Amino acid sequence: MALLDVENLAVTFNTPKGPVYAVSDVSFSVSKGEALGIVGESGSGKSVTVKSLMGLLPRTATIDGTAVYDGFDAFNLPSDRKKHFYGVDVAMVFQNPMTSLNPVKRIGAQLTEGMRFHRKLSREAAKGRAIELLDIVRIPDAAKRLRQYPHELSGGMRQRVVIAMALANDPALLIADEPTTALDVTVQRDILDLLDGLRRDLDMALILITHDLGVVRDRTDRIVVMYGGRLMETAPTATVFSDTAHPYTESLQRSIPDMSTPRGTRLDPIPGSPPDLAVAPAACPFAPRCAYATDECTSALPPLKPTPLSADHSYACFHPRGSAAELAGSM
Amino acid sequence: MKVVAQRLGQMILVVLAVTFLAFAAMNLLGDPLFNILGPVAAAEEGDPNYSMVVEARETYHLDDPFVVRYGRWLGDVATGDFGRSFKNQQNVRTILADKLPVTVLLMVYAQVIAVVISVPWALWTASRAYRLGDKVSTVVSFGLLGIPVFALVVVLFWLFAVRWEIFPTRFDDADLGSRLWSLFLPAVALATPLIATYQRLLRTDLISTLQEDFIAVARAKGMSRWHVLFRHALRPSLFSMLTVFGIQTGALIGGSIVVEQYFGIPGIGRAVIEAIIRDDFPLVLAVVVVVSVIFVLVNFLVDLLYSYLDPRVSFDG
Amino acid sequence: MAKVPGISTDLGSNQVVEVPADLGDERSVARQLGWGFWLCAGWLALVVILAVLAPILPLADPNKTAVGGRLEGPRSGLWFGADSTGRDVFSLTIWGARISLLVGLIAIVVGFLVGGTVGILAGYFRGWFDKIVSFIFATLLSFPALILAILITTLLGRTVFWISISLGILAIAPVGRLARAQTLVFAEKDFVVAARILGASDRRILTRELLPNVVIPMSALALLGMGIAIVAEGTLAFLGISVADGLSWGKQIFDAGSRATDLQNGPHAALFPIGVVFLTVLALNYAGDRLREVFDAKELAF
Repeated sequence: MALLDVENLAVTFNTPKGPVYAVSDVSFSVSKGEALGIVGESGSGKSVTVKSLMGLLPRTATIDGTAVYDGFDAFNLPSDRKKHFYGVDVAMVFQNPMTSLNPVKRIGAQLTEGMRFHRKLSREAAKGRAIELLDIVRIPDAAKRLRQYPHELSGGMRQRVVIAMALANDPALLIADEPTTALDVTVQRDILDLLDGLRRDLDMALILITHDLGVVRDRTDRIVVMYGGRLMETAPTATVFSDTAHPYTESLQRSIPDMSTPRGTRLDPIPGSPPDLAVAPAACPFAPRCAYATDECTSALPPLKPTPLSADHSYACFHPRGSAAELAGSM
Repeated sequence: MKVVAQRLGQMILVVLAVTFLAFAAMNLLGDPLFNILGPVAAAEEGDPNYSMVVEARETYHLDDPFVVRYGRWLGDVATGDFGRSFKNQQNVRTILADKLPVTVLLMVYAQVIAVVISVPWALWTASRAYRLGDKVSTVVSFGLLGIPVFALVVVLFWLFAVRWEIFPTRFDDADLGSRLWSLFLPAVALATPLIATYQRLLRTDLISTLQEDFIAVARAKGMSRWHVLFRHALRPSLFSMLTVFGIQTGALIGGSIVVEQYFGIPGIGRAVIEAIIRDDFPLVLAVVVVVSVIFVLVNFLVDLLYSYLDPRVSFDG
Repeated sequence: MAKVPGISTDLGSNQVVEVPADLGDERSVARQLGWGFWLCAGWLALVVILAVLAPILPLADPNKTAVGGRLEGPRSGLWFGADSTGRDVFSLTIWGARISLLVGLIAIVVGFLVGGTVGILAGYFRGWFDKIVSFIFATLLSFPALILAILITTLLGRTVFWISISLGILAIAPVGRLARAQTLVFAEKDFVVAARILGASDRRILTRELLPNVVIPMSALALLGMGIAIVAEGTLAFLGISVADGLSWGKQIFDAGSRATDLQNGPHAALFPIGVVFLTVLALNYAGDRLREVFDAKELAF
């Protein structure tokens, strides 16, 4: 039974200059304790997708489609449920730890406010739990940290605090939106391992958003690839790498530097630039940059279809790679 | 600490310069002799009144060079002796002690009213930025800014004391309650331009703060709108308003002169204007000193408040 | 996530608020300023014209008492009614405008010319000259403005000319400080540095490079400044220490509004001039504000 089931999600921003189709026809689901990776470049709609789930979109945004969380319509929560939903059932970790914390408030206050508001914990109980949380995210000297201000902590430590904040009320689902992009490379892995470990220990579902396929490789159960606001490919993680169907996913893989890549090999960036989201989707958004594109690709929307090898693996392309290529019958 | 000392030193220098200017201005304004003695000052040698002239010259050291007189006056002030008013020889210090409290009360009252109204108003408009309520507020705010205090006092008085007899028409000194009640209209008159200024500044900073990530994070934690506005957005946004708060003390002093004159409040504002017209040096100078010191002190406190509000700013700036 | 332009600060959505005006706004300057601006300009023009033409307009003698009944209400022929001594309020208001506007204008001109010049020179040449000038500005600015105004006007005298000069002196410090700040900003800009490297004389740099750039934002401020000057003169007149025997707006308002009985029986005598003052100051503030917005944005082209 899925914890979160998103179907045909579409988010359109009504700007003074016209509509912007940030997300179109995106579907995915997350089960209890499962880790889902959403991969795509900037502007692919991955952040907007999760922000819609968290109620963080502005009034100018129109949301279509459904998102069912634990039986509730996540977009139309009854008010008493809504009051204690965000930060309790679902929690989120943002990208930039340097700006995610209120600079004029102490760490302790920011850690405990959620607990005291949602679970009515007393000050002592909340403080105790806060220290526990800091231990869980492996920040040393927890008691001292509570009295400190964000600017006294390094970027990596701040991100741990942000994660601790998200865990404060034992959420069943944690959304991490590019949690390591703003961090040093050396720190990135620590944070990712931390998230991975937490997920397993707490049996917590995780949605990990990134532009880097390498990040989700060993840390997720499933991967969703987005581009231009649309779903390109979705499959269990291993399958994405063993039987890559979508040309975009293929390009993403090629641009991952790997320790085994021979020295001097050029990285293969994807030529071109992201699509204009102000145009209503009518064709494959990746077509202009795709090496295998044909006229068909620029005149019609490829539907989402499963591969012959696995019903669990779908792609949206007229000229897929891998096992689906044989079925499609064209290269 | 070194910076603090330096800042203090700077401020003392400015206060000295201000007093020197005032001293110079007053001494150029006319013959102090005339102000003390009246027409008798014209008495020449041989005239029976001449002895009064000589005596006055001596008591007030009027024959000494200007700079010496300034120095002497400064020395007196440092020991708390502000001299005697030219009019009826009253001790200036007593006059100050008598009249200053009312003016200070009025100014504090006005600032309190201004803050109490402008902060919620700013929060409300910032959370609804660019929507109808905010647009209307912007117009109203702009209008309030442009109303001269002297016109405002007449309108307020007419509406609330004459037409609808809600407030008394004159200052009532009976007890604190009646003082506050009868000072309400004057305080509102003083507060109005402040309300508009503070609201505009705070709103701008709030809108800017509300776009920061940590606000989104707080909302993502499920904190209520109220909590996010008051307990996350407000504090980091107070700086511009705080700066102006200190500077406005100067404007308030000018405003209080008008308000006191109009409502007949026995404060220092009214006293000083009469003193200037009468060339009553000791009183005018004393007021200038006191006012400058108050101004300096308030700004110093504002600086202290900065470092409290933003832990990233240490007091040594 | 790329920020999407939109409006409103819905808490938590990180939205960029308000689509900013295009830097390359194609509309004519006149349209950019907006209908509000032109409305204000129209009002100001009306007031100025009436004030200037006052002597030849068919107005009752403002000093003549008993033109109307005591505190008589507005009627045809007596548009603003009469005050407590029967004088024609409408006529008083227009004649009062002459003094108030004239004082405001001269004060601003003096303030901007002197303050502007000193400020620009201080900001450009720096050094001890700048230190002295800055100190003088700081001192003048820490004087409560009204007290300074009273001191200076008492010193210089109570004619239209001297009151204007006094207020002008008062304007020197704030204007000068602004001019200096603007100059400091511009003196560092590349085109000025380039001119200097090319060997241009100071005078040339000042007049050709700096002046035009500093003057533009300052002009917008001139309108706001006039508003302030008019209020200052009004305040002095209200307190009874403006032009001797002159009947500017402030005095008129004081005469009509300082007695409770008068206000009870005939508030119009005070309210009409108050209305005119308010509208005039508002118009100056708004017009100045619009000018500042339009011309500041254009500046960004650098």
